[in-house]
Amino acid sequence: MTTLTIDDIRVEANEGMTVLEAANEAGIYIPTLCYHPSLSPYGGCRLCVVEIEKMRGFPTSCTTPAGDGMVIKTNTPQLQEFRQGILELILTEHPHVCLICDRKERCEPFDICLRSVTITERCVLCPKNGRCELQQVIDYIGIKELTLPYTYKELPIHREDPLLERDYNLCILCGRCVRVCQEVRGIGAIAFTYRGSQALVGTAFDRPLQESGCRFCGACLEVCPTGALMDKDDKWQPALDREAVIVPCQYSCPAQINVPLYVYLVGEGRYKEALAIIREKVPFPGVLGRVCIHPCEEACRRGKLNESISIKSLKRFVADRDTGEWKQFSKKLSPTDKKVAIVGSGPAGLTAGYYLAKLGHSVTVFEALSKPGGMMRVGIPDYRLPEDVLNAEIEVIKDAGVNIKLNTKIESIDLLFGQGYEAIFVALGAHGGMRLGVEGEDSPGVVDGATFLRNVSLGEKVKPGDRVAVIGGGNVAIDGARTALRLGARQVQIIYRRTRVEMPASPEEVEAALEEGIDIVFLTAPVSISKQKGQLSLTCNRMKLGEPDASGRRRPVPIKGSEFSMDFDAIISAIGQVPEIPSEFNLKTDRGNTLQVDSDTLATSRQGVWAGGDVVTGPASVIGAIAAGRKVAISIDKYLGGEGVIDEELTEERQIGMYVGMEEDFADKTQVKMPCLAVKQRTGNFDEVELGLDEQLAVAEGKRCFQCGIRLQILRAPLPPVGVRLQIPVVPLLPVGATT
Amino acid sequence: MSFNEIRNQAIAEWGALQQSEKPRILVGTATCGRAAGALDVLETINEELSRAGIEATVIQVGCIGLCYAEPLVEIIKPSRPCICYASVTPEIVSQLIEDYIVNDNPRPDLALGTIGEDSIDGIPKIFELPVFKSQVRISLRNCGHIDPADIKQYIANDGYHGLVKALGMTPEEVIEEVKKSGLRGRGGAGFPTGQKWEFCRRAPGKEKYLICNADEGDPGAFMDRALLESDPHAVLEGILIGAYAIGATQGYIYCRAEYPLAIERLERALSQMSECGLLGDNILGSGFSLQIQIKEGAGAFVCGEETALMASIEGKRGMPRSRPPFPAVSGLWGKPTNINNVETWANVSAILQKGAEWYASFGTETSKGTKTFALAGKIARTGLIEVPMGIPLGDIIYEVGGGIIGNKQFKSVLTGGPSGGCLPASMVTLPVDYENLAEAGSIVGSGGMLVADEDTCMVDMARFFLSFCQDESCGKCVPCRVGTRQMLIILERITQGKGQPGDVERLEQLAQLVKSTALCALGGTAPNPVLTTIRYFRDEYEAHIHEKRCPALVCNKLISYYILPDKCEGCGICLRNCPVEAISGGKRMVHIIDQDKCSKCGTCLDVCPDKFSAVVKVSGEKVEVPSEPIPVTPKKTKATDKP
Repeated sequence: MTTLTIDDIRVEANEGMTVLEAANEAGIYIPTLCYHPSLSPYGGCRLCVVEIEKMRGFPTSCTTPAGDGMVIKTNTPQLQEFRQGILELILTEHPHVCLICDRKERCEPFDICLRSVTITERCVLCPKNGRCELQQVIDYIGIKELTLPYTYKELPIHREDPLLERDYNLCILCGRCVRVCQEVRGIGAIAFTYRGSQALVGTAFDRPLQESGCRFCGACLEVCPTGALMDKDDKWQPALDREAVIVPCQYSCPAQINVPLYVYLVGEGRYKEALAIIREKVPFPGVLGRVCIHPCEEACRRGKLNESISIKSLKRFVADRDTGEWKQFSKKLSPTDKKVAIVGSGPAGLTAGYYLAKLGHSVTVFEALSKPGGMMRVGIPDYRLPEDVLNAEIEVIKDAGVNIKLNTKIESIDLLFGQGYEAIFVALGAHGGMRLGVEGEDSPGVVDGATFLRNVSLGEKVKPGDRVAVIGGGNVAIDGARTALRLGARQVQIIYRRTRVEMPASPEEVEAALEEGIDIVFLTAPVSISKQKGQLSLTCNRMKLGEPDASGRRRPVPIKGSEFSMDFDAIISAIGQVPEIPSEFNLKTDRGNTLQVDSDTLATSRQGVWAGGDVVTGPASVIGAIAAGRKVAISIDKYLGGEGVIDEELTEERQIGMYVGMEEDFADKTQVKMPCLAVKQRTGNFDEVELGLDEQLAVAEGKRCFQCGIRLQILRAPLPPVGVRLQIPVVPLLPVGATT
Repeated sequence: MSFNEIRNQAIAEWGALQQSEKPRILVGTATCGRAAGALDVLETINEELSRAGIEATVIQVGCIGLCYAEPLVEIIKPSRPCICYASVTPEIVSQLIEDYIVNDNPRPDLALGTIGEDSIDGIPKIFELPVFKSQVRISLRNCGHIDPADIKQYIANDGYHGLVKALGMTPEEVIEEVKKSGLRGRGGAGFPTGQKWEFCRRAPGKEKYLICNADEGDPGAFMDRALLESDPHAVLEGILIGAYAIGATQGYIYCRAEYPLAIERLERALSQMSECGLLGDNILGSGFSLQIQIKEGAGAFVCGEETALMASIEGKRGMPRSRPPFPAVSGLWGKPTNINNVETWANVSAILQKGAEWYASFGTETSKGTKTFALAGKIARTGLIEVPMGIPLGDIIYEVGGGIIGNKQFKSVLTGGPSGGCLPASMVTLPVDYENLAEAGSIVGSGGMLVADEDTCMVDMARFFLSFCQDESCGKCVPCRVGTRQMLIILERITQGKGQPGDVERLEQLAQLVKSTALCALGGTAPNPVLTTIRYFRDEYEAHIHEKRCPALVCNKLISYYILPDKCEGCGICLRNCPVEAISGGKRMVHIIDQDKCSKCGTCLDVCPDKFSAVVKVSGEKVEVPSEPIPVTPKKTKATDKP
């Protein structure tokens, strides 16, 4: 421990601290623009100069190690004069007129400047106006006027990079970006270029960032004190939620899985830890790793450069290698003697049940069907989600103490309350097929998609025949068609009234269906169905696309006189599902027979009853249902007197490694390709089509990540005390002409 | 072969060479000699000798320091003193071979002087000439006398004797010896060398580095280059002694890539050292080991700053960092590092060879020994000199340097390179040492001395050197990068006649800010030329600002050329030579310069025949000239005879 005196205050400093750090620790602010707590000392801006007894000149506090017995002054008139002088020098190369304008308090962005100040000199047009460190330091130190000439550097603004903009006209050469890139990240994509007054930050030979070895992690953006480096998504106005800009993968995940961390851990070969991170938020990693609609991948920043990270595949990769080690960190609270009933054993119900059981509540899940899992069981065919994967994950939930009662259809909520359940979660899903609304749709051989898939999943003998038509363009339609193929159909046609662009099914599913030889007839809609001599005749209209409808997709319009007929053995209608809610539930419903809930708590119109998942949203996603289950678990626990804390840490790994190093062709690396079962081997069985990544592919994909998450690990630079302006000293500079 | 055997052999070979019956011809082929044509001379010598069938030994030596007299050739005939011939051309050297070697006529008309005991009538002794009389050659002791490519010639002249002596002492004793000598760093700052070594020796850590700073970047300075080209072993021996004293096992020589000959000589010297057991593991059987690596610098001035230099060796951009921590504690790769300049190392070998007391007998109380200076600018005898510390400035300018060329007035001398100070002619009595120069606002620096005559504008000179420092700023710290730029803007406007009242004060303020807050010595000393010119030549600044006049008639925007109507004879030479067609006139008509068109190139002044001298260059004054060409006034009949 070192003791020093700063501005007459006794300050203790740890070994290795600089004077500036010791001062900050003691709550003494010393102005600086180049110092950053996550970076090595630099001493470039010279604002943090101090006077130290027995030391020559004016050392910078950010580079001077704190020494025992040092007596330091941080705020003498001489130092203030220097700081004003240095700031004035910085401002001769940085747009600043608004900073020293006496109207600045009254001026709004985009106000017409009465002083005819050019755009290049105005702060109100800077993307970082109002949250700029330079502004804050100037406000603190105070600059009366600029007596030296200002030069706009007239450098071209780099707008070509997909994620960020670089405007070096705003750069003050504090070197933070260079240091974070070189020292902290070990990349060195940017460095100082040129020298003298031409000195600048840039890539080697001014090449585009993609060719510089840049990993687009955004660490440089995080430390830039001015508007020189900006996220494209964060210009002009700060995003309401920083994480939406910085880690959109995690932000877009309904369950808020820490995607950046687990993708990093996969890249490092730490699969157990990666799985633990996923498990902290969801109890179905294996299921999600196969069937998730992955909004994270849509949001992935890498997708703006070339192709997003295959996050879903990585999730499956680690889920398939579960060693159960995470369980030792998993909490199980003592029993509360509170009974919770959950209606439906789909992802929403089981997730809520799992967390509530861990919080000590007594949870019973009621399932109408003979097997648990809801749509995961009966909506998703085995070739996409093998039964044993689902079974294993449900087993973990049961182990947590969740009691699942199969073949038990609940018709009345009152009955449940009567049995002593204090809280009820309605998670029925949306299993009712929507009607086509055409003549003859009740003919034998016509079945709705949900029923068709359910029957197959529950092990009923289903034989659709040789020629099968599937009507619709969603994932159920694709699943129906591919299932029919596996059940022996020779010719399967999907009939869809719009074009491929508008299909709601996931593109990779559509691709797989086409690969397997399924024909998709676009711009065609059914008109009527008739049954003749054991054959179904489907009459259709050709369609064309008209004006966009409420969903934003162009509305299909029939072409007059284009009617034609086709013969099929079976017709599967898969144009959507609705929840089937027993009337005695007495819950308020909404459009599409969905349940009305409070969007924050998911509470229904009845006290003690919550609802979530497809029964609220209509047919949606597993991850959405899981997120709803988590929300309900929190709500119910609070309702039952708990604190509603379901989050837990299942691994001690909490940080993404900062040092990553240079990789020349990083920007060019494309997404890993999922190995699949050969098309020939897919018919006649329900073997899983996607084979999963091998270790080499998974690690490579993990390493392809930008690691945007490291931005959240970077410390914040010290800022001047808000609303404080230093007293401007009136001591003139000493005349120096006659001194040495 | 043991070192003693090598030494005996070297001495024997050297003796045999001195006693040789064959004539010896020494040609100075360092870079300075080559620039003056030494290689052509060398070729001619070889041709002439073989043509005439004369057996002679031709040796390429380094630079003796007489740049103004290059190429230099020394001829030694058996039992004759060595004669040094200056400004030798291939034609002259042919004559010399014919006249002196063949016909024994020493040609006193071409000779500069003799070297050695005996003398020759009509030729002065070279070391008694004013140029050498006040010089004391310690670091330059062998320059121009031995073959720098032959380690044995160095060994024969006491070479590596200092190392042998050092290895017989403890490292602490070696440091004590260097401390006793009073040697201070010759790179510019003048920090006591022994003390610096002691810091590094005492710094904890097994691995230590040693660096020779040969990144000589000052414009007009060439001491290090000449030394490395002419006597590399003097430097290398110093490095070995230093490494032994501080306990370093790895040495670096950071030499700018623009010195290819120096690098070539160093490489050759290093390989010869290895052959003699003077480099690598277990040097001379003492158990002391050292590897030396040459690092070529890319020519950034700032890389002469020690922390920037180390960053450059580490492969980083050459940018200085703040001290503390000092290199002695945390230098190259974070290890204790000692860094000294080329000249310092050459002094170290001399100190160990001849003893600290001998060395300390030169110089002043606080500045011991000698210092080399590179004399450049408007001085009669440009070149490399070595004088004892404390010598009056005037002795260097007038005695050694021979005064100003062309009988002009001595106005100022800039010592210490672009970040040094401009001292006025009135300071000729100033003793040249660290303290006195600092007090006068300048620095000793690495040893550049730029002499200015009366035709030099001091404001322009300050502007020139500041623009150099501004260009060479690494850009890291604000005061240096932006502060010097702002100072430059003010200086530029002053020299362009746009100076504003208060500019001098503004310059002083900025200079104070930059000096006080810049990160490294480059920024910290960059304002020196400005501050010293303001201090000693303030009236010139004021003339520029208030009278829009450049007293030295240098600043282009402030000068005008006029043709005096009463002197112009209408010959038309100026009109024909004016590159911008600014002159109008006609046969026997008084010519007139259109001031708006004139580019102020001065051609008219140069070409106007001396007998007329009709063109004048003025500043701040207007000469009455007619608005249109008028007939020339007949000179014999004065204006009164005009009709």
